[in-house]
Amino acid sequence: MITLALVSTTGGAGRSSLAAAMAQHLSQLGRKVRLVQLDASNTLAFELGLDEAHGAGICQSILNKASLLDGLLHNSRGFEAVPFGQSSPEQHLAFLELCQRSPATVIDALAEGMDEQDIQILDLPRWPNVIHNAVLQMTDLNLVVLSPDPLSVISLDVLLPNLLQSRGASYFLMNRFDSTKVLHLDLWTLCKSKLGHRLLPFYFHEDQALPESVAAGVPLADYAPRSQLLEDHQKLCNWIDSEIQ
Amino acid sequence: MKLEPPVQHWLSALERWFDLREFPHQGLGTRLQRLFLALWLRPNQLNTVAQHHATVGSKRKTFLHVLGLATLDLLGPLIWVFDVLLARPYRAMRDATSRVVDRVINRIPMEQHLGKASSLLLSTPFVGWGIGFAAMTGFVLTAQASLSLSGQWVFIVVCYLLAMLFKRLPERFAHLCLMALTMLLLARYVFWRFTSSLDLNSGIELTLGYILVAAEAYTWIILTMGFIQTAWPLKRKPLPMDVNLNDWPTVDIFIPTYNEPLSVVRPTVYAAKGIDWPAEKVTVYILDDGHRPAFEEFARQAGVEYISRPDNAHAKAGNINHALKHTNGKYIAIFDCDHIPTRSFLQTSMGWFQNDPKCVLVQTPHHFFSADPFERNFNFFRQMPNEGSLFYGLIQDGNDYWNASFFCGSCAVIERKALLEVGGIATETVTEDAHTALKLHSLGYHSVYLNNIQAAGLATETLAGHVGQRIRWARGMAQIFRTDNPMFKKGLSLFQRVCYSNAMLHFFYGIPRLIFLIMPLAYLFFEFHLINAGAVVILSYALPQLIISSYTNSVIQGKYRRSFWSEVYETVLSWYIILPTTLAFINPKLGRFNVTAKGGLIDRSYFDSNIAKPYLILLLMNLIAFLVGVVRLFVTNTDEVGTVVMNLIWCGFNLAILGAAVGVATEAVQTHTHHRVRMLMPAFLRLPGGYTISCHTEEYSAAGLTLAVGDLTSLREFSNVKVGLHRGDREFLFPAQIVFDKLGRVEARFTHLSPEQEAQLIQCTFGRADAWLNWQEDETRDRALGGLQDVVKKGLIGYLRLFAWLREIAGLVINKILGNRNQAEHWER
Repeated sequence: MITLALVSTTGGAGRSSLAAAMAQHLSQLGRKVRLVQLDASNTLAFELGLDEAHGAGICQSILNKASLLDGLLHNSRGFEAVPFGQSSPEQHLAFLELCQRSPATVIDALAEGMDEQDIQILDLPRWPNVIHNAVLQMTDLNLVVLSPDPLSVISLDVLLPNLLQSRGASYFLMNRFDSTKVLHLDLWTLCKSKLGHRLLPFYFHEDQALPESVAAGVPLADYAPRSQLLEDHQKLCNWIDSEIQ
Repeated sequence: MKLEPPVQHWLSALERWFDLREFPHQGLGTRLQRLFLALWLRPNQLNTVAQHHATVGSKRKTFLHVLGLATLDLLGPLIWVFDVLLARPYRAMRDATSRVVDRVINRIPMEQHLGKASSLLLSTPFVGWGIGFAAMTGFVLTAQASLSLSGQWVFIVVCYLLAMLFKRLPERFAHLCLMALTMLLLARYVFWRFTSSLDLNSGIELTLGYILVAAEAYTWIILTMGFIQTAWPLKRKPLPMDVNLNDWPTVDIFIPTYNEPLSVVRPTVYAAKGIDWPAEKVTVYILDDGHRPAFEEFARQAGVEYISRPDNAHAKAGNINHALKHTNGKYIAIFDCDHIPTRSFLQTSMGWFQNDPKCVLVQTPHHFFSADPFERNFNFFRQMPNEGSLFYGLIQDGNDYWNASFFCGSCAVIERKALLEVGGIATETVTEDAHTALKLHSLGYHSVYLNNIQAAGLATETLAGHVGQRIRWARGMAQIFRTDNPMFKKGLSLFQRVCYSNAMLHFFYGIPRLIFLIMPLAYLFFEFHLINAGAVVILSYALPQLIISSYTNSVIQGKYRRSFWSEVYETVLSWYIILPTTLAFINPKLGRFNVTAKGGLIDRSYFDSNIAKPYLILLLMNLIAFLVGVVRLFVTNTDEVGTVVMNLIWCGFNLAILGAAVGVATEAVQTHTHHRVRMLMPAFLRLPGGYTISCHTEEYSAAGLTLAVGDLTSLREFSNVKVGLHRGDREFLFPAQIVFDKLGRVEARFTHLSPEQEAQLIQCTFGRADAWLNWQEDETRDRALGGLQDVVKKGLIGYLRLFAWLREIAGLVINKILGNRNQAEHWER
């Protein structure tokens, strides 16, 4: 099993929609993919264009020691999707405590039903969080999603040492980039000097079609099949796909 | 009539073959007639005639169509028989033998074996000399051996077989062997020519005959020197630079300009600014001989230096020499003001300086992203090698082996110290570049040629401009040959002398070419016999020599020049360079520097009768001579058919070349101010409202891009978008307006680019390191006969154009005579 983790230090960096897009592209490349949302916002169902929020999810499964597969979202995008689950504050707290107390339980639960060549994409909550402590012990590739604003870049200083100690390889990706904006270009230069080769050499373009496609409940690939952002997504997935082999 | 059993059998088989009923009791005649009718009545192409007539409409054309089809149908079986009995077996045999030979050759590592053997032989100097002497003796003996006619033909067949064998050797050995074979046949021809063909009647025949021999001798010398020059093209590769940036030398980039518009110079300056080199170690200078305030203003705004001088003495050379006094970089890169460098120029070319301390000059090819007059007027841009390919693809690489590759005025780097040592750029002649290199070489310095396109510029716009430029080159080379002759200059090696002399002698082709164009007339008009031998004898000595030299040239140069195109290029210029070269040879002081005009427009296709005048006269003379020759062939000179036919063939060849030369003089329309370069690279569009579309470019120019966009639904015409292009990992967005062109392609026209954006645009397009890779799109191999066919085809096009022009002229004249009445009536109708 190959596990990818999507991390960000700020909210709204575009992590969840990227996770959904990546799951779809990687499954189109012929791999079996499971997308697990570990963020309590529990937005996965909406990301996938489903109408009702699913009640149960990974939070309930792990707390009740049930199978992860019980919470599967039925969707037509070609991959398995496990939402966090509609959790009460108590449940959420209990879940975090479990992560803190016995990370192995979470790791074992995540390993369920996965084969050697399968890919699991973990949509992690905003850094820092207890969940990271547990999950980053098992991930193979950590992809940090940056948004081009100063806070996001400054907070890298805290994140980077932690990531470097974790198990998997870590790479950084600039999202919603607009190369006409001087600030964006400056932040890009700053990131490059801070991160070196860990900053992926391409970025995701800002594109209005992405929020619109989420609002319409349609994958970006169907909503704007010629958009540059879609090509950026494919570029990233092709790179991951080739790295895995 | 009773039929013999086998005939009977065959006929029945044939009848069955054509699905006929068999009539074993009919006579032979009836049965054959039936067979013939059956062949005619088969469903054939004539059935489509009615349909064809409906679409064409014209009776005459339909008649010609019917005639053509009927002939084809009648000859069809014959062609088929020929194909089955001769052509296919021949092809099969040829393919089979070549396959076997290729397999054998591939099995043996030929190149290594040959290399090893030759190094073993040459390890002792005595053996080397011995072999050389033996080869020389054999060569001379074979060359002068007098054979009977049949003996000569046996010799030719042996040479043919050898040539077929040689061409399968590894590339360089094949070239050397073919060259040797060509020299052998040439030597035999020369020997025969001098000993048995010059026994002429005194007077005019003698004079003309000797003139012809002199012209031929010129071609022999050029051929021999050319072989030496291109014996072993060096094909150097760029060397990497030192890792330590501190050791990289300082470079000044000079962009001399005189009267070119700012729009031509701007891209060059922007691209030069974008060359990858430590910023504090490179300075760009505009050397303005036009003393224009606008250029000074532009230089300030672009962040480059501006140098102007009080006078304009010695044109470009003087301009650079003046700048040398006011700058101090260790190396100097020189670009003509329209040559846009790629970002990799310096990193590619500077490596050799670090590696070879005696190296003071690195030259890269001149490349043109617009079509030259030949390419444009015959419409083969990027389809086949252009005029410059031979020089920059092969000759400079060949010179390089003899350390004689020379400076070509632009796209080169020179060491300042050495340049100052020879007194700066040479000012004595109008081709200052070659002369400077000659001086550098005579001091024992090395030059390097890198056949790696690192800059591109504009070709001359019109044939007149092209001719003007070549006149300057020819004059300059003649001047050097006269004032500073490489054969006698001190400090050069023998082969450097040969290379330089060939480069200069090459420009004296004007007179010999003209002689060849006129000489067949001497017989066809006046029955002068300039070669005292029977046609068959002449053919058995001259023809093999001509064929093998064409073949060898095709093998060696084919990648860089299609066969027989040299003749066209030379014919176009021959008349014009005679006077400049002769004058410069007599008095090198005559003549001045003329600047090649670039960046012009041609809004209407026209025939440049002024420039074509000399070929029109030659063409008319050859045409009349050809007609006279036909009369001679059938009426008056039936006793020497061979001679007439030979002269007719010669005259016909001249006509084809002259036709092509006339064809070039019809200037095709040139409406784009900005030249478009075809290139695929990823791009994207950012639409109003924040949407993006990914696409790729098809063509780019300084004014806009043609884009291939997959989905047009979201794209509105005239909407203002931004186009994203890449330079390395940086991305730049340029404001543009979307326009759909006539073919439905998407064009993005840039609107209001700031100077900064303009610079970025140049660096994203023309300045890309890979901008000029894979330039020639059709990489098919040259075939000597194919080249001839092509030239003849272009000649026919030339005649059609000439005819159209004549008709136009005739119309005008008639209108004038009739007081335009006809035309007025025509309009009223």
